[in-house]
Amino acid sequence: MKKTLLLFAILAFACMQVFGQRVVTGKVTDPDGNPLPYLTVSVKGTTTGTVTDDQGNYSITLPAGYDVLAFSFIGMQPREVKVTGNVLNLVMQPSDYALGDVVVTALGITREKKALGYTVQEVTGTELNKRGNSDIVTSLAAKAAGLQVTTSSSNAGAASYMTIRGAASLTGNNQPLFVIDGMPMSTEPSYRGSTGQSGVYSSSRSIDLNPDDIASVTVLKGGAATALYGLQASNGVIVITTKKGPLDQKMKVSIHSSVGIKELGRHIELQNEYGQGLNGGWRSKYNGAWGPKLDTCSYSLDPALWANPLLDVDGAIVSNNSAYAPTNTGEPVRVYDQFDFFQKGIAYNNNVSIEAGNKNSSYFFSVGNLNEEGIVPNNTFGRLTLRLNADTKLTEKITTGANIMYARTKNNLIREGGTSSGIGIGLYRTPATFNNAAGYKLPDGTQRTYTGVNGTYNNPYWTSNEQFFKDQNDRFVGSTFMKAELLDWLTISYNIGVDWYVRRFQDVYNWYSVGNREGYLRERSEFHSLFNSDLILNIHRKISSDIGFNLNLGQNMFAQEYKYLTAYTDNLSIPGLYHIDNTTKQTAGQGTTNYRTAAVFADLSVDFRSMLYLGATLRNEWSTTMPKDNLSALFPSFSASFIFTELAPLKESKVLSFGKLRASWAKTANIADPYRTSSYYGSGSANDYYTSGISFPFLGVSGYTVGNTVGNPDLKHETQTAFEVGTEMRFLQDRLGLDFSYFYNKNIDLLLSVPIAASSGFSSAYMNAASMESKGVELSVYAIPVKMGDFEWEIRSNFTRMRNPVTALAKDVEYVLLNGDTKAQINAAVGYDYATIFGFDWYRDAEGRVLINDDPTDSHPDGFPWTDKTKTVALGKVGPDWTLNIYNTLHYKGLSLTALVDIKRGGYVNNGTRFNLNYYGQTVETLDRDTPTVFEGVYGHLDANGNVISSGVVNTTEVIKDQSWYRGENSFTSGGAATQAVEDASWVKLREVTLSYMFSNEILNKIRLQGLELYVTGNNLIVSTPYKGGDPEVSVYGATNGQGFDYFASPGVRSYLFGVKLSF
Amino acid sequence: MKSLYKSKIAVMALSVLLFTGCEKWIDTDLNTNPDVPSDVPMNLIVPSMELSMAYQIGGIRAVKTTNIYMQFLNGVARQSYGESNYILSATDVDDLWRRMYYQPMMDATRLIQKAGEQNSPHYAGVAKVCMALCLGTMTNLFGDIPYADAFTGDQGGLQPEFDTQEEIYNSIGTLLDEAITDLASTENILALSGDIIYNNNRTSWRKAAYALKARYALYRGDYAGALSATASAFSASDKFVMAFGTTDGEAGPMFQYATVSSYKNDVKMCATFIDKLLAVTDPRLPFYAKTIGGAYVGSPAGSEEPDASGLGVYNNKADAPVVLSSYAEMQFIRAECFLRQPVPDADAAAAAFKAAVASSVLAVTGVANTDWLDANINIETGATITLEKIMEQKYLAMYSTVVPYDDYRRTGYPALTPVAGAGQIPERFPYPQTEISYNTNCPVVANTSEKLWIFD
Repeated sequence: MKKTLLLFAILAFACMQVFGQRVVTGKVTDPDGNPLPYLTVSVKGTTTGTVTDDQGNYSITLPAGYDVLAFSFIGMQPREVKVTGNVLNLVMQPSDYALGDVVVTALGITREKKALGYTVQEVTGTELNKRGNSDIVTSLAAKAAGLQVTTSSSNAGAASYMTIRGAASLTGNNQPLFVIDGMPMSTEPSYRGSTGQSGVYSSSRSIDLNPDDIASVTVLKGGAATALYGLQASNGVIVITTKKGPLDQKMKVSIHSSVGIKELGRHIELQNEYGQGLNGGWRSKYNGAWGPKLDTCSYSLDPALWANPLLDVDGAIVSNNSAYAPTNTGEPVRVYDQFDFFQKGIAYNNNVSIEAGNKNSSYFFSVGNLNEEGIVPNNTFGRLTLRLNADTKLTEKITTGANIMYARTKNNLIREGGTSSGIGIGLYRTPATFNNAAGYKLPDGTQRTYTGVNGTYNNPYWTSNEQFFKDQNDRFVGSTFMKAELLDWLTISYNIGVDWYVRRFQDVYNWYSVGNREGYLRERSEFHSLFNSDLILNIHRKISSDIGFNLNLGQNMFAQEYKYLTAYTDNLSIPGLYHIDNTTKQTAGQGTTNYRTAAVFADLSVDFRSMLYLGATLRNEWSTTMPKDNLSALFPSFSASFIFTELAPLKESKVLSFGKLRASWAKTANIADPYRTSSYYGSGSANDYYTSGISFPFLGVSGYTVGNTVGNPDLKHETQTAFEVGTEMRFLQDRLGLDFSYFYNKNIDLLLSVPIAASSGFSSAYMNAASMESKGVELSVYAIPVKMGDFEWEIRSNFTRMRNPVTALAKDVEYVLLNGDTKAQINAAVGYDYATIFGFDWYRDAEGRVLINDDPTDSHPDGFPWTDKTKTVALGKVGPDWTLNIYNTLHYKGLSLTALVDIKRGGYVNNGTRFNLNYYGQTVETLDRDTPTVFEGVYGHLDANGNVISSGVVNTTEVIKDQSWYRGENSFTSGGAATQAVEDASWVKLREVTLSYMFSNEILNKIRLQGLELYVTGNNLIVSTPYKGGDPEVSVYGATNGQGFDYFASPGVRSYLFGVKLSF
Repeated sequence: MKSLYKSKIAVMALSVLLFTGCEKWIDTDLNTNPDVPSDVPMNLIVPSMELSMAYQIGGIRAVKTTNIYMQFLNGVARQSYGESNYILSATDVDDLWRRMYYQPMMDATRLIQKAGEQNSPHYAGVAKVCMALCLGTMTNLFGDIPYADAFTGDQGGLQPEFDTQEEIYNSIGTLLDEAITDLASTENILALSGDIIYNNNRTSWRKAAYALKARYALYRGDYAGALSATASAFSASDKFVMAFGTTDGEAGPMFQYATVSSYKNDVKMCATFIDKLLAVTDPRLPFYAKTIGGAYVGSPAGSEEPDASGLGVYNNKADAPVVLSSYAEMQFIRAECFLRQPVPDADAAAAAFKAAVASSVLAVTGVANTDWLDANINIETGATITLEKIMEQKYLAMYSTVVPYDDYRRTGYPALTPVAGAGQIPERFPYPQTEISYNTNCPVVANTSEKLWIFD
């Protein structure tokens, strides 16, 4: 009876709601608890609608028969909620690509976006945390105009490299400053394991951040945007705001879990038609695949031919037509896909966060745990993060808070790249007939390789099992702030914090590793600390009803301390025991880098009728790294923003809903590296390009040598003047928007270690020696082409076109080497874009046609081109002509599909991998070894004086590109024309696709959840490129300025991610 | 209102505290690197100068490349294969040039300067001998090189002028004469210390100075000068070597290359050299080369044949010393001088020749091998000795040094057949790329088959 009554009551109540008209009220806020004013609230299926007031409150009348309210607001995910009562409070989530009206600018100062005279671009946290990238920098790729990101390797935990609007410094840091909740954060990889092409690419320290903790990322690009940060901000600033708890909300628990799978992606193609050997014959242990054509061969197990059964496990390979044929087994020769070495890597990511707040305090706490396996066996990355962000209002006027983060990362990196003890060389050069997988270790502990026992290169399985680089970081970042509103118009705030981390790593080679026969162990501990404090006095007043101003006066103190202690040995007494005492000789070392800066600054902005905004900043900064009589520098900046749609004639425009013009000018500066004002002695050593050599102490004796770098007591600051103009417009009730910028940055007095002639007794001199420009345009477009009912299609697109020429270098310096080898160099050269590939070219005639040798008397073979070794020339710039990324989002109710297409046009990579593998007969290109070819070019030769004599007649001579061509004077190893290696690295990438489903409130209410979302993401699903190597987004030099160089870099990866987010 | 007042005071106090802290905060002493010294005593520079000198002069570019040219060795793969076909680029020689100039030669310059300031000529003497050896080695490979105007990068001299080879040879002579005086000086304040070649023995250093005087006088055709210098140079028991340790990290350069590095399989013994030794069952062969399949097999010059003998323990052992000069070299110099002086003395030449070979055989094998010497070497007399025989034996004795390449370009002996299709054996190294790029004074070398002044 009771049940029946209850049922009746519910029915009656429901009917009442369905059939009766009623008024619903509520408040709409963002996740931070801020009210959302002017937000559209409408009754679904009707034309009834309203907007929220200043406090985010609304009141709307639901007509009979309607019970779903639709909430929409630019920059927020639209929501539709079924109304069950008379009060509906709602928290709106920011949409991907928030076009928020308020943005975080320098020093955490929030500003109305329309007031800014410079470009800022925002990326929301939700865009970053569904990618499955452990390093948020990787996820920022293709998300903002002017931003360029390269991940140096597909290894789990690998370093990332990012620049904003090109390079500002020649050989110094070009990566932006990271500021997290007001604290500058150290992000650079502090130690790369090894220099040059070799080794491991330790994580960039931005990897310590948990992407799930991030609320938003603001990219500050121009000098005016970053001027308040002063020194070190000329590369742009990435301002990261982490999540905060909401005020006045009950506890909410959010869980985000995902599983990711990485697999082998694009890689260079290797031939498998010819076997190990030379001159068409099979040869055991031979370093090259110039052996027999395999379809005419078989195995022989005759001991007379099969000398190395432990290496050549299948038998000797003999031609069916040779004298040895009678011993053949008749079994066809097996070919091995060397890329089978790579595995599927799996990543598990789990995050739990708790947020809550009462009237005065709010609280956000999170725990994150990531465990990731790379595609190289034994390459792992793990991260544990804890975060607590809490704010409290002590009084109505005084707020304090703290942001505390702890992160522990553990990385096991496997050596890769162009080193004989890495994965790349040993793997790519192994002929198809050799089975690397048939054991890397022989019974006596020695190494089995295709070039013999303890051969020339490591077996890749050896590299991933007997060598490792274990890297562990413990990082604590804590900052606290106090903010007091002394008067209505006067606020003072003080923010102080530390970023402190300890890094320990162990770099290990077991006995019989190539280059370290007796094993190698390095133990290193690093202690890093940053200290930062900002004291800011804010004065804001409305002078009249039309004019207001906002003035910040501040003071900043910053200190960085770094120290490492290291010990290493290159002979282990007991193999496999990695302890620093397990040796007869250890070498120890230490290093220190300490510096401090201090600054005072002022930031004034004036607004007039919400139409014209003028800003100016001034900052004076002192740094200990500068010479005593030149400690400080002054940087001014000016900016203006004019909202022309506030003008009367445009105010009512139906087409143009918002329009703004902006301009800014700023001067910023970079300081010298520490310890550059004087010359020193260094610990002695003796070595060369080929051997690791000897370091003092030697035979128990210490030795010091005159340092190779000349110090300079007359250093000046590096100076950047940045000019920018732009416009921002929105049309058709914000259905369409664009943001255009032109920027022109001039960098002068750039500091660098200028390489100098060694006959000066030194190898480099540190000086203000270069000028560089970067100029370009950026266009961001936003559109909602389709919006029909529940369906919406949203497009965001960023276009960047930029040039970054080096305009001057020190007297008589033609170029500065950024990175490279003896074949190709990535240079900064006057008149060329920063990072241009230089190397030898073919001999060419005046019209640029390649000469084909027609002189039978010279030493160069006829019918072939040959290398002009008299000069290196520019062969291509690394930076792209332009980039375009298009981010499409389709929404239908809770379902959304996003796809990020990333297009890069132009930009070259030196494919040293392919060029080198040609020498070894490993590339598919060398399959033409038996086929006649005609080189493109014209007949010609050199006269007795070395002048080019071109016949102008097009070459028709057929030649065979056999072993003597691929290994001859024009080959990689003989310093042949690098033009053979330089390739267009344009690409079109389907960089990320995410399909997600957010459960509707109806369902959520039933299962008592506040939110539930399932998603699946794919990264790098399609890579279309003319590049003939692996992923064209490659850097064998890791996170350095010498991008655009491929030399046995790891192959690309594809990855898939399955995730669930829920909150209750 | 009262609380506001309090806050104001607090803020002001805070500000004052922070702003006044500034002076101390920007502490310019922080910019002195605590990890490396701004100055070091001379006895700590000496070992670095000596080791880096020996590692380069006895190392990969100086010895390996010239020994490939001289068909002691054959490069069978990669860069070394190029060298065996006389391909050597400007970037290939950067390493040797740079490390010579900014390491031992700069250290020697600094030592000479410090020794002058500190009235300690014994240090200057050692540094001058080393500088002379460095200059001699470098000029014989590169011809005109910077010296008089060099080593002033810290005073703004970034692009030194090049001295002619003749000027360099004059400087070598001056340096060695001064060294001989300095080392014998009685007015010396700081006693020589830190010397890892001669353990601070000045008498030995004077002998080394005379030995180098003899070598470079010979190259200038000054037979009388060379002969008289050899008289004051080494006796049979003297050595001029850099010793190394037994671990990989303290091993000599050829061992690091041919055993430790990833280039270890790129270079094999050359058939030309092996066949010469095999023909006379030279007792030095088992020390110079390893066996392969139980036999000594050389890789034909300029070929890619990898199945050949590797480098033997003579230089391919961790603690194999780098030989900078020797008693044997002195005796070969005497033999040549006796034969080529205006009034030849063939008997004395034959005697010196025998002493030279005997010294080399003993030094390489550790035993006298009298029977073999009697059968093959001691048969020579004043009537039978020739320059060719002397140079042939000097070639066999001076393996793993730069001297045979000097001698070949000087005398044309031993007669070597250049690799077919690879052109002539180069007469010199190209100038290094970095010097071309960063020093506008660097001469242009049209081709490396032009004879150097000293060998012309």
